[in-house]
Amino acid sequence: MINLTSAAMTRVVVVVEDDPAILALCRVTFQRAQEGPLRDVRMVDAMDLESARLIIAAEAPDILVMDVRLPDGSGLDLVRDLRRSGMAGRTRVIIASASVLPAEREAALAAGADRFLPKPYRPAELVAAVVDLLREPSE
Amino acid sequence: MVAESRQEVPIEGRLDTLLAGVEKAAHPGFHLSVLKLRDDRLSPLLVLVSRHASLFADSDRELLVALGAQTAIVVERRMIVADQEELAARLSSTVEELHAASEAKSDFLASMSHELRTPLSAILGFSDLMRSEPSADGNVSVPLEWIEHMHRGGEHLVSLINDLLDLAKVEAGRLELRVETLDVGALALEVANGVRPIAERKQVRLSIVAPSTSLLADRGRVRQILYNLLSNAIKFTPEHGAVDLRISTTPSSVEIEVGDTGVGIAQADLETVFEEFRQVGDHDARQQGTGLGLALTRRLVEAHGGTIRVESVVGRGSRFTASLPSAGEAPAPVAIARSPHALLRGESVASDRSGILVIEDDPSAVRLLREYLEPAGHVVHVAAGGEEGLVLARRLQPAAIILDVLLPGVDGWDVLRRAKADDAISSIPVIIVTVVDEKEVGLALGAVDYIVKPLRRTELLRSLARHVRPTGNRPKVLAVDDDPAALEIVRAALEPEGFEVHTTTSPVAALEMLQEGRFDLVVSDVVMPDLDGFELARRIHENVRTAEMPVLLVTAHDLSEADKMRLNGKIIGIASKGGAAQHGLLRWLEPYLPGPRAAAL
Repeated sequence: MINLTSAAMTRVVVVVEDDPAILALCRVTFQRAQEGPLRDVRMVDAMDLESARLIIAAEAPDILVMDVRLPDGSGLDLVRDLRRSGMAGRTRVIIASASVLPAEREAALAAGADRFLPKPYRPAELVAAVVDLLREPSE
Repeated sequence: MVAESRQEVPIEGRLDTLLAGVEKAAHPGFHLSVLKLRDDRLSPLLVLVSRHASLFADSDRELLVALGAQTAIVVERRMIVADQEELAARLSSTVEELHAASEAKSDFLASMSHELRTPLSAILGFSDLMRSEPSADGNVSVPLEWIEHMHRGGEHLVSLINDLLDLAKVEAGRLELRVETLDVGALALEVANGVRPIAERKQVRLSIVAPSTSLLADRGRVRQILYNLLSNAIKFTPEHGAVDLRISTTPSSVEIEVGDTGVGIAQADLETVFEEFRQVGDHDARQQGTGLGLALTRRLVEAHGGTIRVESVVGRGSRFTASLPSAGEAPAPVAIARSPHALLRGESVASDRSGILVIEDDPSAVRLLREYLEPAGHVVHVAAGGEEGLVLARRLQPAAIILDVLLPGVDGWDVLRRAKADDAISSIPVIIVTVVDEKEVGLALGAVDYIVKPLRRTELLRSLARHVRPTGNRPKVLAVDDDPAALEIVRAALEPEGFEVHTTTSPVAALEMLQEGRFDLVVSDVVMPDLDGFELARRIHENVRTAEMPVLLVTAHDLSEADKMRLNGKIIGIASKGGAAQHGLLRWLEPYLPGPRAAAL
C-alpha cells in the first residue's frame, strides 16, 4: 500500500476524453477510488487537445490519461510534444484508446506513453494503472 | 556517316514519302543511300548520307549492313524491354490497387473495432461500477445517469450494426425499396427535429427550407438519407457553425441539399468520400463513425435511381446534394396546408391526417411498434404519457392513435374517455394495444379495435388498414361485379362520399389492376362466373403486394356457415345488396371515408 494520505501529497490526474460517457465513467471511478487506493487524487478533465494543453500547463499533473482520437487532433501528438519539451518530466502518461491493433499500441508507446490501456477497460484496471504509476518513481 | 536517332517516330505511309522527307531535310548536294536490313515491309532502314556517293565502297556497304543488322537486333531488344516495362508497370499498379483495397479493408476493420469498443466502454464500465456498489438484499441503487450512459452505448452499437447490415444488403443487391408517394418536405422537418438536440448541444445553427414536396420513394430509406447527411454535417461542423437543409425541385428531380460550415474536404479526397471504409482527413482526428454513413447514403440514393455529389472548400465547409428522380407518373402532389415553421414551433397545424400517435411508456414496446409501422410507411409519433398523448393528438391530428392501457399517471381508459369526449380529436380512431385483456371495456369506451399483446405485425397492420385510410388523395376503390348495373350502384353510392371509384366486370382483370395501380380498398361481388368473390379475396391476400388490402364482399344472399369459415380473417366485412344497399356499403366503408368522420356514424 502506498502512502498517499498526507495532505501535501495531493495528486492530480488529467483525463483527456471526448466521449462524455467515458468521461463520466472516469469521474465516478476516481470518486470511488478516493474512498480506497487513491485517497488524495483529484481528477481534472478536458475534451479536446486545446483545453488539454492549457490544463496540463496549469496543473502539471502526476498522471495523464489520454484518448487518441480527439476532435481537434491526435492525443499522440500532444504526448510527443510533452515529451519533447521536457515539460512533463514527472507526468506519467496512460494512453487509453479503443484503437488496439499492435501497430496502434506501438505508436502509443513510441510517442512516449508509459502504459497502454485498451478500451473498453474496467474501472479497476484504470485505478490499478494509476496506482502502479504513482508508485513507480519517475525518471 | 550513319544517322542515328533515339527518338521513335511512328512511320506511316510509303517509304518514298519518308525518303523525300529525309532528302528535303538534308543539305542540298548530299546523297542519300538507303539500305534495307531485312527483306520485309517493317525492316529497319539504314540511311547513308554523303556529299560524294562514290565515297562508299561495296565492302563499306557490307560492313555497314552487318552493323545495321546488329543495331536492328539491339533496337528490337529495346522494344521488347519497353513492352516488358510497360507490362510490369501495369502489374504493379494493379497490385497497388489491390493493396489499397486490402488496406482499406484493414483500415475498416480497425475502425470498426474502434467504433464498437467505444460504446462498450460505457456499457461494461458502468455495469462494472454497478456490480461493486454496496448492495442491500441483492439490490443496488445507482444514479439514473449511469443507466442512461449504458443505454445510449447500447443504442449506438445497434445503429452501427444496422449500418453494417444495410451496407451488406446493398452490396449483395438485396435492398428492397417500398416505394410510395411521400412528402419529402415533411419528412425532412421530422428528421431535422430529431437531430436538433445534437445541433443544439454543439450550438450549431440548423436552418431548414423544406416545402411540401411529393416524391415516389421508400420512406424509411429517404429518412436514412436525410438523417445521414444532416448528422454528418453537424458532426463535422465546429461549435457555433451552421448547417442548412434545403429541399427543392427541378423538372425531373427532387434535390436534397445539406450544407455546413465545417472542416471541409480536401480536393483530393472528394472522390473517395463516398467509398466504403473510407474516412478522409487526419487518421487520428477522425470523428466518430464507421466510414459507412456516406457510402450507405450513396448506395441508397443510387438504389432510387438518383445521384449524389459534393462540393467543398477546406476550412469553409461542404455541400452534399442528393438528386432523386421524380417519377413521371407520380400522383399529383398532395396539397398539405401546413407551414413548416409552424410545425417547428410546435404550433397546431392543419392536418393531413398522416402519422400514427403511439401513447406508450415502455420504450421496448415503442421500438417494436416502430419496427412494425415505419416500414409499412407510417410516420410514428410517440407520447410516453396520457396527458402528453392528448396534447399531441390535438396538435398532430394523427390518422390513428395506438394506446396502451397501463400508463403512468392518467391510465389508458381515461385517455380514451377524454379523447372521445374532445371534439377536436374524437373522430381519430383509437386502437388499444395492451396486455390487459378487457376488449369489451375498450370497445365500449370507443376504441375501434383492441389487440392483446403479444402484438403480431400482420394483426396490427390489418387493423390499421381497416381503420385508417391511406394519406393523401381521395381513397381509390376498385369495384368488381359481373353485372355492370351493380357497378353503377356502387359508383353512385361511393363517389358522392369522396371515393375515387374504378370498376371492372372481370375478377381476373381486377387482379391485374391491383398489381398495376394503388388502390385503398376492393369492393367485390361474391357470385361471379370465372372467379368468385371468395377466391378473388384469397388471391388478393396471397400476393405480397396486396396482402393487406381490405376487401369488402357484397352479396345478395345470406352466407352459409361454410362460406363464413372461408372468409375468416380475409375480408373486412360483408354488405348486403338487398334493401338499403347504399347504407350497408357505407357502414363498412365509413373508416375509409375521406374528410372528417361523422361522429354519428
